Parts: sequence; structure tokens; C-alpha cells
Amino acid sequence: MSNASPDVVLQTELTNASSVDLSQAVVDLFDAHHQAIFGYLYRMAGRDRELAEELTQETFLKAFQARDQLPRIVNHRAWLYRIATNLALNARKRRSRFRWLPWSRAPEARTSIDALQGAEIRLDLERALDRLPPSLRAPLLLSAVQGLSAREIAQALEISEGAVRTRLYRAREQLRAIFQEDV
Amino acid sequence: MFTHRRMQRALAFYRHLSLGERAAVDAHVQGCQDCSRRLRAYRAMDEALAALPTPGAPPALRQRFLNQIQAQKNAERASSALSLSLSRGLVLAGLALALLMFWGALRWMHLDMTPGPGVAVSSPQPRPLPPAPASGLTPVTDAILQEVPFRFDMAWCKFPSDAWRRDRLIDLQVDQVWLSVRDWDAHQSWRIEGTYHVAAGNFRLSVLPDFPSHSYFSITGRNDSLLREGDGDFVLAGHVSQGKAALPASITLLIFDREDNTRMEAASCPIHLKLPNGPASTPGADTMVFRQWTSDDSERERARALHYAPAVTEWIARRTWFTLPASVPWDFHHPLLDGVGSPSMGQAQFSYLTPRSAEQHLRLDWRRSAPKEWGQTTDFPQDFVRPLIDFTLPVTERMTPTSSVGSYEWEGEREIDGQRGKLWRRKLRGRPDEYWLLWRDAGADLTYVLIIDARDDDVLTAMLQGFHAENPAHVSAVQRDVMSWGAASPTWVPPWLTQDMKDLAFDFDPGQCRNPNAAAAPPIELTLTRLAVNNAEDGVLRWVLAGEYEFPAGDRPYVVLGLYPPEAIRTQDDLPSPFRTGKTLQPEYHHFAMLTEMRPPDDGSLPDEMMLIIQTAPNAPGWQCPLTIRG
Repeated sequence: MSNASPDVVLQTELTNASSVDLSQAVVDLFDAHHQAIFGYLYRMAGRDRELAEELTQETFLKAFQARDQLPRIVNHRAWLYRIATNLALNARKRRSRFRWLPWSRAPEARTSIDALQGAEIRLDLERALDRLPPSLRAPLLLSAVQGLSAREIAQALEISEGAVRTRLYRAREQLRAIFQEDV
Repeated sequence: MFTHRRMQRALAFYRHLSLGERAAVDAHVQGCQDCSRRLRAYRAMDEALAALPTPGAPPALRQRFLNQIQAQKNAERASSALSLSLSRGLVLAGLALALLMFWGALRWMHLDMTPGPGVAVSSPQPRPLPPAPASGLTPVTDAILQEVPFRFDMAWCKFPSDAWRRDRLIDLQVDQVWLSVRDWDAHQSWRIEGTYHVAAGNFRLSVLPDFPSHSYFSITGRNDSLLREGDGDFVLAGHVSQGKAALPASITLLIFDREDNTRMEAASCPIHLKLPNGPASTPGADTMVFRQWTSDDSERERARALHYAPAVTEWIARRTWFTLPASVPWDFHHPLLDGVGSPSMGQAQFSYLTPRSAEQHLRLDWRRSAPKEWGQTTDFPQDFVRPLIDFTLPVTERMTPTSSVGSYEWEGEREIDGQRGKLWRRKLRGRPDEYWLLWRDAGADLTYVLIIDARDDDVLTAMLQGFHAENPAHVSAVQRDVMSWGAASPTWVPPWLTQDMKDLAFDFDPGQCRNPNAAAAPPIELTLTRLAVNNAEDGVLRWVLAGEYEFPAGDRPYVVLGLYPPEAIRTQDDLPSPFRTGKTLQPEYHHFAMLTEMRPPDDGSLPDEMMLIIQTAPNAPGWQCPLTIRG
């Protein structure tokens, strides 16, 4: 049994077999990556599950529409994350134009007991993550949650590796500040 | 120092360092406590981020994706077939043209060689150009007031995948939509309305056109609330104002679930319009017929408003404050509402459109018993005000229109649904036909704000009749709710909770409350009157807890209630969503009802015990009070 990642296998097939069905290749990419992409988009979309679903589907549809480029793409994972990130940022821009005003801005008091402390921290962390600007949230998620390398993150976000490092530093500091402020 | 800062910074991307860089950082961290602590903190952050629960993508997503790419393939095939036939056609046309030219040349040569007398050579007449390709925008030049009735297929509505929410919307049937168009200077505004049924819930509606964004663009329908009660047809309406003289080729109907502030959009229905002289319609479009607004229409609107007035009263009784819902015919001063505050103090802001400017705002601030309001309401053109249609009802009390400006308090207190409160009326400058009505029930968690148009005096009257129990249907509905909730007032409870809730028998003894960090008992007297649960088969248990409480005299402690499964069976998923984490009790009131959502245990059974948490300080351990469920 081969230990090669689906990406490597797919790349090999695409490079070696000119008759490969590119449509099927996109389906293979979907099978290999859609859960991770969905998880990433879920966070990028501010934990909006329906929006994450929609964006996931759109990500792979765009990949399908651009399937002719597949043989030339070296890192499909980074490519998919690039599509997903762009879609998430665009969705955010779209939504910010029609942002609903909250019915009540008064924050509800939190219930906290010892046994729930860990979970409370989780909620606080989620809220803090939601407040992180997308330009910082994306590299942090791609690094800490999705496990992408700096080069892959750079490809996904279309920035330099140096910029990835800077953003990771700023993201961590900002997240820490928000989290501490919340807690 | 420089090295330290550089190393400290490098810790943020430690995982991405090269081997050489990492060795240098490791060497520095070994001798630097601050960096060592920071590295640990970053690692903990990564672990916490990676451990955040993320829902899995639904299995149906794959099939949807496959369907979508199949559709895409079909479209590509059709397109390539079309381009193939086009290219074949072009080849044939080219051949034909070449033959024609050849024949023309021969003919010319023949004519040239033998020019006959009287033969005139004329230049060909230009053919009329085919119409330009239709764009998405259709200019409307003569729309003064037009109504466009059309139907659309609700199958176009994309409902959320969340089963519970979808079920609540399942009866939403917009079967008739009217598009009213008005042309005021460069600004157009239009309204969409229709009849609908909603199974349960309280929704806001918006319509969005498919335009590219414009700097001047506003949505005024976003706070239109769809009335909840499932029986009967209601009217929905949304307004869109836009800065360009055009009608959209399609609009999107957005429905916002007001009970759940976490959602921005509960359903999206692209409605494809086909205009009389517009571009070819997209699928689902229907032909529209323009016609003028008539006085019959006004009468119809008025009659309909009266018909729904009792429902309005019922809706009023459930809200702390509100705008008049769209069931009453309003035009372009239809208000927006945004608010913040508590029953004793708060602020509401109303926005509405005027013919010549983007939005007007009114702000209402209230304090316990002294409402104060001000606003910017000048510059209304007088000719904007529609003539009133004389329409009277046998009424016992009727507002007296006045031309002066100010607030008026209705004489004395009024009794509304058994509660006594004061009612104010506010007349706005420049709008002789608009009033604000404020009613505050000091004995309950309720403040009502009503903006009403003088045209709707009759609606107001009907509403007041409803309040005064002259509508038997309304009375029985209210009584039923009150009975089902026992001592708890129905006004605190989302109406949908009354559906399919299973009441549980339980034991609760405040003496059993324990707090490891506090010796004294909880500082309030608490009696629980209802524990109910609703398993909506979507993997979520919804608990309702209602009761009464009494604060110590003169004291105002912080008290927040929370409901959880007992610790032994509690999991992370049992935690309520951040928006429903607790119920803050106020000393002024004596009843509460709260909702908590959580996942059921794996075996689907109900726990035989629940835990009520009474917290008396922010972020501090609370009293844990067991609720034993019987049977």
C-alpha cells in the first residue's frame, strides 16, 4: 500500500497520464480535502455553518471550472485553500454591506462554574478568534489547525513567506490580547 | 536586546523555522525564561485552536457537488455544441457569401459591360439594428407608481440545511408578490409583498436586488416582522431603495430569524423577474403586467389591515418594543428599528425613508417612566402626504388628529391585557399623519412602542379594541397561552416553544443547592413552575424552565440562572450556545422563563436529573441545585 498523500498520487496521475479524466480528479480532490476545507471555512465564516457549506461547494466548483489548470498546479492543497480564502473574504465583504444590526447589544451574562471552565475558555477562544481580522485569522488557522507549511500558506494567501511569518506573529499577539481582554 | 526581540518574534512561527533558525531559537529559549513561557503559551494556543470542535461537512454535500458539476458539464456541452454549430454555420455562411460575391462580381461585370438605360444603382438601405444585448438592469423611465403582480416559485427558495429551522419555515408560502415602483428624482423604491403562512417563529424580511453595490443603497425592509401565528394569510412587505433608476432582473428574498440572533440569513429566495420590455427572463420568471394603483387597492389594503389588526395586538403583547409590522400598509416612511436597553432604560432608533433623501432617523430614549424622544423629521414635502380616505368605525375611543407638535399622554392609565400602563402619543413635526405610541407596563418586563400613520386610525382603533378584549378570538388565544404557562407570563416566552413541548414532573428543593465556595444559601427565593423539553429530532434538546422569584427587599444582587445536565453525564456539546448561556434575573420582576439547548445523551434518553446553576457573581462558581425528574 502506498503511503503517498492523495495530492501526490493525483499529481503523479495528472503528470503521467494525459488521458486522465480531469473531472474525476476534481472529485478526488473533493473527497480528499473537503472536510478540511469545510472546517477552515467554518472558522473563516465566523462559525456560520450554512455559509461554510455554501463556500465549500463553491470552492470545489471553482476548482472544477478551472480543472484544465490541474496538471500545471504543483500543490493542489494550497491552490484549494487559495480559492477558499478568496471566497471567504469576498463573502465577508458581501455580507458586511448588509450587516444586520443586533436586536440587543447588551451582552448576556455568562454562566461559569468550575466544571465548565474549560468549555468557557473554549467559547472565549472561539469568540476571540471570530474577532481576529480575516487577514490574520487565515494564516493562523492554516498553520495551527490545517497544518500547512509556511510555503503552502504563502501560496494560499498569495503573499510572501516573510509576510506569513509577520502575520503569524501579529495574529498570535492580537489573539492573546483579545482573549485576555475577554476573559 | 535586538536578538531577544527577534527570537521572541520567531517563536510565533517556530514550526516554520528552518533547522538552523530553530537551533538558534532553541539555544536562546534555554536561557530566557520569558521566551520559554511565551513558546509554551503559543504551543498551548495551537493545541487549543486545533482542539476547537468543528462540525463535519454534511454527507449530502458530496452529492450536491456532484450534481452541480454534472450541471456544469451539461452546460459546457451545450455551449460547445452551440459554438460548433455556430462555427459550422459560419463556414456555410462564408461559402454562401463567397458564392454571392462571385455571382455579384459576374453580375457587375455583366452590368458594367452592358449598362442599360434607366438603371439606377442605389445604395442598400440600412437595416434596423437588432436590439442591444439585454443587461441585468432595465431602465424604468415612466414609473410613477406602478404595481407589478407576479408569481414566483418557492422552489427557488434555498432553505437552510438546519432541519429545525427549516421546519419552522416549511409553511412559508409566498404565492403572490407585488412589486410597487415609485420614481422620486433619481431614487426608486419598491415594495414586495404577498401572503404567507409561517408555522412558527418571528422573522424579519428583506429583499435585495441583484445590482452591483451602490454607494447609496439601503434596505428598509429588514425589520419587517412576519407575524407568527400559523393560521390565516398575512401580508409581508419589504422595501428597497436604490440610487439608480432601474429595476432589477432578480431580487433575493431574505428571511431573518429573529429568535436566533446568530443568523443573518435564514432563507434566500432568488425571484426572477421578467419585465414587459426587459431582458429575457431567467427560469422561473413570469410575465408581469403593469397597472396603476387605484382607490380600490387602497380600500383593499385598508380592509386587510383591519382584518389583521387583532393579530397585530397579539404580536404586540409578545414584544418589548416594536415597530408596526408590515401587515399595516405603510409606504416609504416604513420604520427600521434598532435598539438596545433594558425595560427601565434604553434606546431605540428608527430609520425610514423619505422621498428626497436616504434615510431619516428618529431616536427614542426611555427611562423608567419618563419617555423622551426627539428626531430629525423636517423637510417632508407636503405634497407627499396622501389624502386620507374617510373610513370610520364605530369606536369608543379615537385619536384626535392635531396640527401641533408634541407629546400627548392619554388621560390616566390604561388597562391592557389586565396590566395597567401609560400610553403616550407623539406627533412629529412635518408629519401630521404620523404618531408614536408608547406604552409601558411598569409591572412587567414590557415596553411598547408603536409608530402609526394617521391613515391607520382605524387600525389603531381595532388594535385598542383587541386590547380591550372585544375580540373573542384574541381573548381566547391569550387565555390559552396564559393557562399553558401557568403563573409565568406568556410574554417572556418565544411562542414556538409552546409547540410540542413535553412537560416533566420534577422535584426541586432550594435547600439542596450547594456551592463549594459559599456557605449561605442563594440570595433569592426561587420557585420553579415548569420544566419542559422538546426533542425536535434534529439532535438538539430544548429545555424550558420557568418559575417565580423574589429578591431580598432593597437588595439588587447579580443573579444569573443556567440549566445543565448533571456533571457526571455532561459533555462539551451540552454547553448552551453563547447566546443562550443564562437568564439574568431582575429585581423588578417576579417571573422568568428561559430556554437552553443542548445535545441529548447518546442513547437518546432524557437525563433523570438536571442541574440548575445560580450564579451570583460574574465568572464565579455558582450554586448547583439538582432538579430530579420523576418518571
